[in-house]
Amino acid sequence: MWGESVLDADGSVHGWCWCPDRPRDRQVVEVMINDRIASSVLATRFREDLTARGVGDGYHGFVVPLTKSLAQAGPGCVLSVRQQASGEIFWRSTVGEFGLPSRLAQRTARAAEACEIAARSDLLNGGRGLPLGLQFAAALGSVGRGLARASRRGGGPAKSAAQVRAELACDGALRGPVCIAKPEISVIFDAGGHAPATIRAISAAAAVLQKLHAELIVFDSGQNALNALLPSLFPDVRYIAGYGKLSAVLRGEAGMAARGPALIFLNNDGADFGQGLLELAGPAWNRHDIVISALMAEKVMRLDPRVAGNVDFHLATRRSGARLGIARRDFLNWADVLPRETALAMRALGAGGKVTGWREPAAADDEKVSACSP
Amino acid sequence: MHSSKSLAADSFIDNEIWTFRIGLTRAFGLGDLSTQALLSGWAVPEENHVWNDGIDASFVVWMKTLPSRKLLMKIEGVPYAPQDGTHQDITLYFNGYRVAFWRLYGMDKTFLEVEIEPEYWLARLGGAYAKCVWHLPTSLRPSDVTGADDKRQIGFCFQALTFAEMPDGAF
Repeated sequence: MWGESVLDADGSVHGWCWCPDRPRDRQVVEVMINDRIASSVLATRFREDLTARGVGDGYHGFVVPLTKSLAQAGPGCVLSVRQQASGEIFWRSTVGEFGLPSRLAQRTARAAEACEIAARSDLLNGGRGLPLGLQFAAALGSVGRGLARASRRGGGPAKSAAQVRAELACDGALRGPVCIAKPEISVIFDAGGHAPATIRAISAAAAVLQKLHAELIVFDSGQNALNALLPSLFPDVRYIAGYGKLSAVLRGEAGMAARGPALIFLNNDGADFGQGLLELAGPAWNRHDIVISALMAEKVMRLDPRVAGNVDFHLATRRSGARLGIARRDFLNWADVLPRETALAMRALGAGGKVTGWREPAAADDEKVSACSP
Repeated sequence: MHSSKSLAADSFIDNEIWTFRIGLTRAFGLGDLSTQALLSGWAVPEENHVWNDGIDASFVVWMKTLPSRKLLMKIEGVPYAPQDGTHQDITLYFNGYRVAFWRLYGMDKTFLEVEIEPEYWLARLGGAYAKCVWHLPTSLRPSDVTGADDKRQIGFCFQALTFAEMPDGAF
């Protein structure tokens, strides 16, 4: 069941309710004040925006005037809207002088995240080269620390920069990948939601990356505020921030920005990927072929069994989170299907190429792997 | 446009969409009631409303059980009184009982409320039946008032209808 609702300034509640399983059904919606049903309405009003959004035929809106009922209930009452059939409440708000702004929880979470970044802003490399939002956070943090010092209340960030670095490193100093002028491989992965583990994993893989003459590109969709520290901790890692963007979109952008003739996309579950990457980038991969995960390779074979002869499987000994290995030229040529592995593999097979299904040893937390690689 | 049609007796019972329920708001217009409950004197239903067309318009309402208490009939809509000096007089006959009269000015959203006694309902077809006749003698043709091309004779734009329980304390 899908639905939205808004309380208008004149005391009317308007919204829509629709069940994708039964797209032609009209839903009965109940509006409750302090958990007592104040009104019920058949959601049948037409709204043009609903058709544009793919919500059935658009005849799923409702309007309920509650001016009198709200006046009787007084300020601070709780207004809820639910689908009658399932009893599922899809909107709730507090009305009147104690009213809460809409989406308060999300706003609070976002503000907390910004504060977390701001509190560590001395790690943000002075804000240089960072997205505008982070520059603002850095500036905000500096102002906050200045005010705290001025008021002599001992405020400022809860932990010093050195403490944060020490926490992240745990077992010694962080070592970042070095700058490679002409990389032979571009390794691309999602900063994900495991910031401390990711930072340690990058540090651990630095030597392997240098050995492979590989550049590292990390894209960050804002899952963890600490990821914002990556550019200052690893100045030679290329960092692409796109808060709120889909990982798939950022993955495509990172691929376009890559400089190496071969691209390797890795899933990131916070685990070390260095040794697995060494194996992946080794002789097992002919750079003209495409490497995809074994799961995807099986999918490709199901889609077109005739290509089975051109699909090989490789049993890797170490985990790298391999998602896609592809020549940059092919990646750019087939930019219209970015970054769908199966589509790229089908193109390669259609062009007479080969595909390798990369099968890796199972991890204890495999579910987590798939969860962080949409 | 005037339209009239006869209603098969069992169409009330078989067709759930015709039924009203106490407290449930139904919308006029294409998505919900459309032409189904309308008898005569109506313009072509539009997306979320229907105008009367002429000086009398009627529709039927049917509920599964005969109400035992007084109900509040609420009609949401917009009167058609586009100029100073014009107004809309509306009289509602509920199963022949003259239950309300309103004189409306302007073209703002309006909620008409009228109390319906339980005795006004007819026990028919296994439920409660009522024919509502709206008398709108001051209906106007937009073509006469504003020079528009609209030749319907309209007085009130019907948007939604609710039969609600009376507020607490009312008998």
